[in-house]
Amino acid sequence: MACCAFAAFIISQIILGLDALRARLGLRVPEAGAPNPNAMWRLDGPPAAVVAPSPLWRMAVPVTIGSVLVGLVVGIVFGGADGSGHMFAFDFICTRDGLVRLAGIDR
Amino acid sequence: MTLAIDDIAAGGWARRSPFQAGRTIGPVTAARQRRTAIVYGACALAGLVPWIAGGSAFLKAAGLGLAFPGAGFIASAGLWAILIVPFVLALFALALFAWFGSGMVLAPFIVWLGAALVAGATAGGEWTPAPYVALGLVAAFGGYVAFRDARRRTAAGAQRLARDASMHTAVARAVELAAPEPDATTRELSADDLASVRYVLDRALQPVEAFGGFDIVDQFQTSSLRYQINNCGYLLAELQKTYLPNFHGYLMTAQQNLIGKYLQKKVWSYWAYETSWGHLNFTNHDPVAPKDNIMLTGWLALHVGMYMNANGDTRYLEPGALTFRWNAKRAYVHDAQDLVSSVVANYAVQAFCLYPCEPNWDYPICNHIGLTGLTAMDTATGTHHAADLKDRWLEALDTEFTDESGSIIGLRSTLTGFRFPFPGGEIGFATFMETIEPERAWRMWAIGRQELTYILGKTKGGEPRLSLSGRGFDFGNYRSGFGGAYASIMSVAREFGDDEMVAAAQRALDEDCGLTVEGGVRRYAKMSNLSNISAVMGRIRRRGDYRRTVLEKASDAALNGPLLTDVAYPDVLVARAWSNGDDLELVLHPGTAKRAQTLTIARLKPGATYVVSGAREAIAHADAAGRMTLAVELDGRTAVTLRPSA
Repeated sequence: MACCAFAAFIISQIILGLDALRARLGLRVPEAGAPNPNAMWRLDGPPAAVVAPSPLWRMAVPVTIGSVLVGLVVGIVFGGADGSGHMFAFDFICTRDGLVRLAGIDR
Repeated sequence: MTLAIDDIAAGGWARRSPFQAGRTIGPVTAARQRRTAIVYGACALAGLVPWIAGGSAFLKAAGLGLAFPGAGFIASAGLWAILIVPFVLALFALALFAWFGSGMVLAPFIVWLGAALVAGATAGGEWTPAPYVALGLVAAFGGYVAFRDARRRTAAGAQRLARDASMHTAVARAVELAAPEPDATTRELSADDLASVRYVLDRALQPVEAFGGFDIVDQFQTSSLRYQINNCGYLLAELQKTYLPNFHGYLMTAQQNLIGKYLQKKVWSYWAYETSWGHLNFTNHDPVAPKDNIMLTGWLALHVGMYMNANGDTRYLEPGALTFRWNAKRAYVHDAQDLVSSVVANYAVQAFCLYPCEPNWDYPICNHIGLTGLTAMDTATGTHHAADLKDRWLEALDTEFTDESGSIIGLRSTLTGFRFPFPGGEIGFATFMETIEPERAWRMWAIGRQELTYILGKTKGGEPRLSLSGRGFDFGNYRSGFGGAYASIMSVAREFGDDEMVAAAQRALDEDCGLTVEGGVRRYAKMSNLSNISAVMGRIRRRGDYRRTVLEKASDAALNGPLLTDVAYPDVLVARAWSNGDDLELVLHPGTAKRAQTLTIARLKPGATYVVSGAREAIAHADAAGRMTLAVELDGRTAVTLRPSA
């Protein structure tokens, strides 16, 4: 089983809940057990139709950006590379010789 | 591997479970839970100070808000609290989901503390009984959780004893059912197997930057591209190791394309977000992370390690072979050794030993894959990181990640020390455990199989099939359906040679999941891409294939013997490519209507003469570079053999 299955389970509950809400509002809901167009794709088959992301995932973009901005503000206020916390580890990179302290990010 | 029932069963169930040492949780878990309780208690008590010492309405409401998310509104919002408190709790649940889903550790704190501040800022007056109500709710919730936990522990303890009691019977049954390990010298894919394998080859052989046939939903959770790519890679490596050790050609291209796809920014850029909002790390977004992200480093190490064990190609050990390019200016330049370094360094310094995927969330399943990844890389490069780590790793698994029933828990929060519910079981871990501690893996499989016997049903015609109730859930696209579960059970059953369970799973897949054969490709229309890949794995795997691909290097004959190289896809489908070191045995099938084909063979003895069967030429000569081409006419199953002329 792939990792993070519990979170995936929660996602499923949210998606099923949203589907129920969409059905109540008379909007189109993906049919349970409907064919997955991605599973039907073939290398030598016809070109795949471009499927627009659902409104749920379009919403995810501003939510993600907003969350990152909040994180940035909180990080700037409360963060700090004092050598004792989470930031400390990220002064390093993983190399074949083990962890090496970063001289700069760009390599 | 020889199976001795007594030796396997003698290990007992959960031998090193903390339950048997009189402790129910490990020392690190206990310390983290204690810390969480102390911090929570201190905050809650501090929040009561304004009520005891007399403070402003702001301080009283905000302080009470530390008791639980939204509690401040009990003091400040009057009857509106009946609506506002559940709303804040729902918001908090969403924040927890964001934390689960993407490691956004800040989200719950922002909601909790933000609600407390808003309650304080909007407080006009105060409701004197508010602290008693809030603390009463906390006590009721705590009591309920303690009651549930005690009941669960009692049931789990009883389950452990029952498992111990039935261990010998369960192991004996699993061993009795186990098919013999396949004969490496005679392995061949059937026509249906080839049609299934085409499902994976189609996806792997498209241009590196293209993702046709992949499910693209989100890049944080189980539907992520990285898991689809890794599973394709594991499958093709097993395929090459077991059926096609002397075929390179498009099979190598497919595997290299998959690793190339993995390096595409859209696959790994999730880490920049997760380390930003999970670690407050806004500078170093290197996915081969010095802290956490085993879902990338561990999984990819296994992918590359299995690839190397299948064919001996060491290109990914070269500096810069795994370069994760962010943009024109920034790239994270790595190779396979760096993946190993990241996993080893994390195991060395993380308090739980087993360490998180997303910041804070520690998943034992990803750590099984991580340690297996080290094992595969050890096999490929001659190092011994996994062996060095094994005892400490197993000790941590047993003490910090095993419950009272002896089952491995699904996940634990490293920050708080608490475990969270997770749908999983012994079977999910057994395959990976086989390369870590084989006897334990067989015990896990034996107990898991015994406990899954109830899903072995019958068709109307009386043939065995798996039957699960409910709607099911496909982790590859978050839709309903049992295909993923059937395919996973089938893959594991294959590894342990349980043909009865395999047949039942295959029948369930074929009957329920939209089996379609079109254009020579076999797939299940109602399943996600991830579950389809798993179904192909379940179809072609035989007992011990995964273990051998992780633990054994490619044979000398595979590394040095004659090799089928250039051949057209999908015109020529390769069902067998095997050599004893001097000869080459091929079985080919036509993939299209084009029957006349040319094969290129390499690594022959330069200038030597070979006796050929199954091709137009009966005698052929290798050139000075040890290569030759053969013309063949494919007609169904076509065997072609090459032997040095005496």
